[in-house]
Amino acid sequence: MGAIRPGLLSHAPSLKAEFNANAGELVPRGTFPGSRHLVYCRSLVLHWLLLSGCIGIAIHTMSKDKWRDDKPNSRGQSVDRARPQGADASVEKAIGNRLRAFYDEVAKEPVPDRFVDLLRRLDEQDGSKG
Amino acid sequence: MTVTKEFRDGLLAAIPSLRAFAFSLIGRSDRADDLVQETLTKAWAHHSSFQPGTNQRAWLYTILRNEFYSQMRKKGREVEDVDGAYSRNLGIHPEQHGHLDMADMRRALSQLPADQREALLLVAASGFSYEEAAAICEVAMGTIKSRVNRARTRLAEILSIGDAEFGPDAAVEAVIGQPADLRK
Repeated sequence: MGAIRPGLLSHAPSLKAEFNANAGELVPRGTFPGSRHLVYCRSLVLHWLLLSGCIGIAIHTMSKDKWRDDKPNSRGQSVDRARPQGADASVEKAIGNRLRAFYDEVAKEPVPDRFVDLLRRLDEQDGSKG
Repeated sequence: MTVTKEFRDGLLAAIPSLRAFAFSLIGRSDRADDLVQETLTKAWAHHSSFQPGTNQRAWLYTILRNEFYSQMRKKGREVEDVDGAYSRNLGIHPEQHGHLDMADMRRALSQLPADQREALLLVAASGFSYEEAAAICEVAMGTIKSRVNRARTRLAEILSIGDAEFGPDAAVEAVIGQPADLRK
C-alpha cells in the first residue's frame, strides 16, 4: 500500500499546474469547457481506481492476517495449557518451602531485648499519662 | 483510652513475623529492626484506630509497609528505587543470617521488582490470603495474584527450581558471587 500513496500525491500537483496554466492564459471561464471536464474525468477515474485498489488490498491483507493469526494462537495456547500443571504445582510448593524456611530463619530468633524494652517503655508512658 | 492487654500481647506475638517480613523487604537486619520499632511505636500511638476482633497482624503489616515506603520517599528516593536500595543493602552483613540457602534466597529476592517481592512474601511466606494481601498493599486481588505468579516464575528461574539442577554449581556460585548474567 505504501507504494501507491506517493503516486496519489504526485498526481495532485500536476493537476493543479494544469489549472493554473489555464488561468494564466486569461481565457474567459467556460470558453474551453471540454479541457476542464477532461481533467475532472481523468482525475475521477484515477482516484476511483486507486481507492478501489486500496480497499481490495486492505481486505485481502486483513483476511490473510486473520487466517495467519488463528493457527499459531490456537497452537500456542494448547502448548501453554499442555505444560504440565503437576510440575507447576511442585515448583510452587518448592518455592513456598524455601521462602518459608528463609522467613522462619528470622522469625524463630528470640525477640530482641530492644522490643521488649520498647513495649515496657510505652506501657510506662501510658501509665504516667492516665 | 489506654492500650488493652490483648492489644499489647498481639503486638508482642507479631514481632517475630514482622521482623522476618521487614528483613525480607529490606535485605538488611539492622534497618529491618529499626522499621519494626517504628511500626510498633506507630501502632501503639494509633491503637484506637484498630478495631478489636479484626486481623491485628494484617493491620500491623499494613503499618510496616506504609512506614517502609514513606521512609524510602523521605530519603529523597523514588519508590521505584526500592529495588536499588535492596541491592545496595545486600552483602553489608552477609554472615548475619547463616548459610548458603539464605544467601541464595536473599539474592534471588533482590532481583524481583519491589511490588512482586512484597506480594510473594505476604502470600507465600507470611501466610496471608490473596484478599488480605490485596488489602495490605491497597490494590485489587487480581493484581496481587498476577504479581505473585510473576514473582514465582521469576524466582523459579533464578533458583533453577524445576530444572532439577541443584548441584555443586549452585553452591559454588553462592560462595563466589552472582553469575555475570544475573548481575544486570
